Amino acid sequence: MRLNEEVKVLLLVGLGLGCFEGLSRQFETRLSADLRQIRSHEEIPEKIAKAEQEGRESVLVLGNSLARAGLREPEIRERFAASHKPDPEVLYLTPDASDVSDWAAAYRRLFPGRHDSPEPSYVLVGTGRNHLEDRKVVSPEKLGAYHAGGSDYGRILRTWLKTTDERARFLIASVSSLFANRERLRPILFYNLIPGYESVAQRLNEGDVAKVMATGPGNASAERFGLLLDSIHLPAERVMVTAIPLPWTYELSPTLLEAAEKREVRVFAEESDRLWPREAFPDGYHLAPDGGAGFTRSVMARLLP
Amino acid sequence: MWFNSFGFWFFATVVLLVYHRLGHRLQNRFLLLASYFFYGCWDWRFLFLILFTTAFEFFSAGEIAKTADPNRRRRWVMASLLVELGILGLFKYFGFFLEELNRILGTVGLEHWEPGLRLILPAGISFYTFQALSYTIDVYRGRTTASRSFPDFALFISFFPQLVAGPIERSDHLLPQVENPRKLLSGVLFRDGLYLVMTGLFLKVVIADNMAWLANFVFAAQPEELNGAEVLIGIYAFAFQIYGDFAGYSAIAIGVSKWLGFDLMENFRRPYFAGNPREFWQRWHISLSTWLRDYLYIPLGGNRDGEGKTNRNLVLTMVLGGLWHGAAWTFVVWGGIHGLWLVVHRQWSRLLGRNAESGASGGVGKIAGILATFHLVCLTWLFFRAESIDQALGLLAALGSGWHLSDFVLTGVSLMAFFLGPWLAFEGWQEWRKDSQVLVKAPWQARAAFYLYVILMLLFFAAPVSVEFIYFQF
Repeated sequence: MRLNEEVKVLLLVGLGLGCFEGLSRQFETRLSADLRQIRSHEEIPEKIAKAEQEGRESVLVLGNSLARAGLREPEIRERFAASHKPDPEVLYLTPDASDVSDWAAAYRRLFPGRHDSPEPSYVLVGTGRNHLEDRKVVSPEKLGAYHAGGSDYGRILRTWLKTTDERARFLIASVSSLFANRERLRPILFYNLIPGYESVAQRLNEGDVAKVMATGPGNASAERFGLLLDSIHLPAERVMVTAIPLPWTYELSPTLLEAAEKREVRVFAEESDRLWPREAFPDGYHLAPDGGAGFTRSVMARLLP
Repeated sequence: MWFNSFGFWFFATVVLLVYHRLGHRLQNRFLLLASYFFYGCWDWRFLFLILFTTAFEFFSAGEIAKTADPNRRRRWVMASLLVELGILGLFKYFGFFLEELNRILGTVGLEHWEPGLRLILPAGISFYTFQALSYTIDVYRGRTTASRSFPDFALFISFFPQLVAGPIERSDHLLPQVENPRKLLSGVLFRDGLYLVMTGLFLKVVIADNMAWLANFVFAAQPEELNGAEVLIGIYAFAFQIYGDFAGYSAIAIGVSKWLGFDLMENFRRPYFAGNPREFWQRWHISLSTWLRDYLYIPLGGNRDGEGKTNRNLVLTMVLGGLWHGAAWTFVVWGGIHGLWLVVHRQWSRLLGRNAESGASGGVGKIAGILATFHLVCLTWLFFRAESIDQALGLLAALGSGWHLSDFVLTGVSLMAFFLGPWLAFEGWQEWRKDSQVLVKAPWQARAAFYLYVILMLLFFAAPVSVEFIYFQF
C-alpha cells in the first residue's frame, strides 16, 4: 500500500472539517445568545463615537452575566436624567462566564488607546467574589477567538495561560470558529432532545458550584485587573468597580482593593457584604430585576452624586 | 502529559519528526531520552526509581546469564523478586497495611501508629515493575537472552507509549525490536497507527469521559438516595468508562508505537462480546492476564495437580490480580469473584462435557452467554469502583429497590444510546467478521468518513469535565 491512500483519507477529512468550519462561521451567532452578544461588541466603539458626535455620553458596563443582571440600563438612564444630563448610550461588554482576563483583553482590543479611537465616558466594572483576580483563564477558546487582540497574544501566551494545552486551545480557537464553539452544540442538542437532561446536568455539576461557594477571599494577584484599569484612559472618578450581590456574602480581596486604590478608582462593595434574601436570586445566582434596579440606583448615586 | 492532551501530541510530533531522521542506534538513545522526559513530566523524582529498577534488573539478569550454577541463578532471581516486589509493596501497599494495622490497634485500645511518612504512588509502577520482572524471570528460565546494552534495556523498560499504563510487554517480544533496526514508517504502519490512535481517542474522550460523568454521580451518592435503575445506569456507565479509558489508552499506545516502527501486543479485543469468563480474560487486559498466567498461575501448578489445586490456583491468581490494581478489600473481592466465577465455569464446562472455550452453539445461546457474562462482569465492577465494601453492598441493596424512570435514568439511557450505540455496532461488525482490522481493510473513503465522525464527536461531545486515565493510578 502506498502512503498516498492515507493522504487521501486525511485530505477528505480535512475537506469535511473545512465544510464544517464554513458552516460554523456562517451560523455561529445562531448557536447562542452569548455569541450574538459577543459579536455585537465590535459595534461598541462605533456607537460610542456616534454618541460623542451627538453630544451624549456613554456608559460601558464591563463584566459577565452578574453585571448584566445587577447593573441595569433603565436605572442608569434614570440617574443621568435626574442629573440633567443627556440620555447616555449604555453599552454592555458582558459575555457569559467571563472574567477579568476576557474583559481586559476585550477592552484593550476595542479601545487601543490611540488618540483617534473613542472611549466610553464612564466604565462600570461589575464583579463577583473573584472575577477580578488572576485565575486560570476560564475559556482560552473564547479569549483566543473573540476577546484578545494580536498585541496581547505574547502576554497571554507567556503569563496568563499556564499549560501547553491552554496555549494550544487559545491558538487553535483564534483561527477556527468550529473549535472555539465546539462546546455549544452539546447543550443545544441534549437540552432539546433528552427529557430531563437540563436538571440532571445541573445536578451532576452541583459539586462545582459548591466549590465556588466554599472559597474564601482569594489571595491571587491582580495584574490583569491592574492592566484593565491602566487601559482605561479616563479620569479615575469616571470608573467604578462594583461588587455585585450574590446569594452569599463576600469581600473583595485586599490585593484588588489595593490595585484600585493605587489608581484612585472607587470600589462600591457595600451591598456584597450584607446577606440578601434568597428571593432576590430567582435562579440561585443572578439578581432579579427588582434587586438589580435597587443595586444600580445605589451605584449610580455614587457615580453621579 | 495525558494522551488526550495537546501537550502530549506536541511532544509526540516532535519525537516522530526527529526520530525518523536518525539511524537505529541514535533512534534508541533519542527514544530513551524522550521516554525519560515523558516520565519526568509526571514527577521527575521517580526517574531515580525507574533507573534503579532498570539497573538492578539489568545487573541481576546479567548475573543469571553468566553462571550455570542453579543455586546462584535462583538466588539472583529471588533477589530480583524481593527487591522489585518490595519496592512495589512499599509504594503501593504501605498505606493500606498501616491503615489495617491502626484499625487492629484501635480495636485493642492502643494508640495509632503514625510513621510520619506519606508515600505517593509513582505513575505506572505496577506496569514497568511487572515488565522488568518478566525479563529477569525469562532470562532465568532460559527463554530470553540477557541484554548486553544497558541503554537498549533501559528503553525496553521505559518506552514512553506503554510506560505508564501498558500493555505490559515481554522481553522476547519488545526487546528484539529495540535491539534490531525497525521498519521505516510505511503507508501500512501509518494507516494502522492512525486507526488505533483515532479509535483510542474516541474510546477515551467520547466514551470513557462521558460515562464517567454518569458513573461518578452514582458512586458519589448515598446508596439510599438512588433507585435501582439509577444504580444500574451507574454500573453500566462505569463498565464502559473503564473499558473506554483503558482500551483507549492501550490503542493510542499501540498506534503511536506503530508510527515509531514498534509492534506492541494487543491488550483488548472487544471484551464485552465474550460469552464466558474464560473468554472474557482472553479479551480483557490481555497483557496482564497472560502475565498472571505465565508467571503466577503456571508456577503455582496451573492445572497439573488435579481439580482442587487447579481451582485454588485460579482463585489465588485472580485475587492477586485484584491486589495488583491496588491495596483495598474491594479489589480483593473483585479478584475473588472473578476467580470463583472461573472455577464455576470450569466445573460447569466439565459437567457438560464440553471444552470451556466453546459456548452455546446457537445464536440465541451465544447472545445469552454474552449478556450473562457482561452482567457478571458488571457485578465485579461494582466492587472495583466502590470506595468500600459497605458502599458496594449498599448499592447492591439499592439495585433491588424502587425501580422507576427518573430524569437521571432517562438521561443516562439516552446518553448511552448516543455514545455507545454506534461504537457497539462497530464492534459488533468486527465481531461478526471476526476481524479487528475490518475498517482498516475497507475502502479509504469509509475510513475517511469514520475519522470525520470521530473528530466531530471529539470536538462536539467531549465530556463536560475531563477525567484522568484510571489506570495511571495502578
